[in-house]
Order: sequence, then C-alpha cells, then structure tokens
Amino acid sequence: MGQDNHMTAKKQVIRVVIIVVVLVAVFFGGRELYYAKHITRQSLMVKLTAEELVRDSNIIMQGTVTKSLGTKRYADENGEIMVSTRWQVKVDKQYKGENFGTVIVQTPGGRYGLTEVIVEDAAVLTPEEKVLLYLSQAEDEGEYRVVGELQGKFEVSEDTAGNVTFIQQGTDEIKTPDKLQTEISVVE
Amino acid sequence: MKKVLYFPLFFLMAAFIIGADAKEARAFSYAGYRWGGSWPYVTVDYSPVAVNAWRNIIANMMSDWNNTRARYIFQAGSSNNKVTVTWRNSHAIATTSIYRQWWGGGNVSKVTVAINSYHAFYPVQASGYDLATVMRHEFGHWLVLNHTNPPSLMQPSLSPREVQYVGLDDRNGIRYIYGTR
Repeated sequence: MGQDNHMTAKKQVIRVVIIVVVLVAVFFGGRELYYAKHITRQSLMVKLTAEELVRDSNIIMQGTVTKSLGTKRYADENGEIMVSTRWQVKVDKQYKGENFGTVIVQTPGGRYGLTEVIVEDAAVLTPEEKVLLYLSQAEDEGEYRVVGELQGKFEVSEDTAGNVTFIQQGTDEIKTPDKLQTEISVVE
Repeated sequence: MKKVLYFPLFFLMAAFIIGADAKEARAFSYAGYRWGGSWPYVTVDYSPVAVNAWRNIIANMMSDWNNTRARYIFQAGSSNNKVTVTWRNSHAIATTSIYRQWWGGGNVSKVTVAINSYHAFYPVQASGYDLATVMRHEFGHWLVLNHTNPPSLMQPSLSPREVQYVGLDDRNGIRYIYGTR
C-alpha cells in the first residue's frame, strides 16, 4: 500500500515536470516562432558625392576589423523586425574625427535566433579585413554606422612597394590616401 | 589536317554565341524566390500614405508593372502589404522589406515599403526625388527584382529629379520570373 502511494507521488511529480517543460517550450518556442522569418531589405539610396561622404561622417578611419561582437534584434522606426551585427574595428590611421583606438560599428543584417535579415547593398565587414570607413554616430547611440551603406566602405589594398589604395565596395572605384586628404581639406 | 583545325574554331564560335546569348538573357537580377502561385494577385495597402497626390502616383506605378503583362497583378485594398511614410535620418530614400517564412517553400509572404520623408520628393518639392521613379523601383523589388547597374530603374542609388522607367530588361525579368499573360 505504502509502495503504491510512493509510486503515485512519483508519477505526479513526473507529470508536473512534463507539464512545466511543455509550457515553457510553448511559451518561449511559440514566441520565437513569430520571429521565424527570412527578411530581405533593399534600399534605394541617395547617390553621395565624395564631398557629401566626408561632410556626413564624424569619423573617417583606416582600420582592421577585429571581430564580430554578435547580433541584436529590434523593431525599427516602422515597427518592422530588424537585425544588426556589431563589429569591433581597430583604428590604424585616422583621417577625420577623434581617434578612439577602437570603434564599434553596426551594420544592418545578420541572424538572431530564427530571424535572418539580409540587407542588399549594406557595407560587408569580415574579420581581419583591412578597411577604410566613413562613419557617423546617431545622437542616441554609442555605435557608429557606415555612411551611405556600401558607399562609405572601401577595401584597403597594398602593393608590394607599400602603396595603399582604397577600393569602394560595389563600384570598385579607386581612391588614394592623397586624394582622400584633398577631399577632406576641401570640405573642412 | 585542315578539318582538324576547323573543329576547335567551330567550338570557340559556338561558345561565344551561347555565352553572348546567356548574357543578354540575364540583364536583370532576382533573388531566386518569388510570390507563390501560378498567377499571384497581390493586394497593396497604401492607405497609410496621407498625401492624396502620392496615393495616386502609387496606384499609377502599380499599373505600370501590371502593364508589363507578366502573370502577376497588383491590386489596391486592405492588406498586410503596406506602403508607409516614415521620417528617418538616413541616406535611404525608400526601403522595401520582403518577408518569407522558414516554411511554405520559401515563397514571399509579405512585403512592406517605407518612404523616407527625411528627403524631399516631387510632387511637393520640384527639386526633390521623383516619387514615381522611387515607387516604380520599390515595386520592382516587391516583384523580387534586385539592383542592377546604372542607368536603369533598378540601379541602387538615385539623384534628385532623376527619372527612370520600367525598361525592357525589367519587363523581361518579371516575365521570366512569373511567366507571360
């Protein structure tokens, strides 16, 4: 009789545990299912001139992408689901603005949970990549964004003689450090 | 001996012709997914746009794409597929978001377009961005066309007062994706 009571109590505990696990799975899993989406974003951008790129930047820096700091998911100004990726970039040379040594750059797109956001024409950063970035900082945010999306990102290319050139993402337009300095001095 | 030489020459010419033909046929770009069904009728809700003249332009741009005679129809009405106007301090003139579920074969389930009122548009400001061109471009994305090289309707960036129309490549593109009526 006592053994039967013990078995019943054990079964009750197992039932309660199963119910709790199922409820937790439904609550959190169900919530995540709402976010189970592929989203592709395509923006028609303002065509920025070299001077406008300089004028709209708080910082122009040549640096090395150190690592990805992960992604975050949020609702944008329109209430649409958005994912952004944060990158740590070490400053190798500063052309405009204060040199902080390292900056955190936020690029649109990435994967968070079951949400994948692909942003066509966003600046694409990869770890160890050497880049020239035109960056602006929103007043309410500590992180920087690339000005004009891919228009503000250049790949740094160095030949065997040590001559550096900057190649713009998307257009493959080439710029030298001297030309950049001239553009900055014209604006300032 | 001469016949042996003709064969590689013929092969090179065939490769050139096939290559040129393939290039011509792909003068548009699309993501590989699309709206589901053999003839999708998609309802666009532009009621959140307050300016009457802008609503008329949006309706006309839907007609522009309907007139391409692809097996795809835009229609106006109440829907989750919304066109909105939002102020955002950004270089984006307008943004299209295309939603697909993880399930359902990867077909498009919802599209929204946000016009960025941070910028000036024509009508209202004569020196602004041509709203008709902007909406033609965004409806191109809506139909899953990607950006292409300028000058074209689907070019990635736009200058103030620049006007672009639905071109032959765009028309061929959506006819390729959805078929012809």
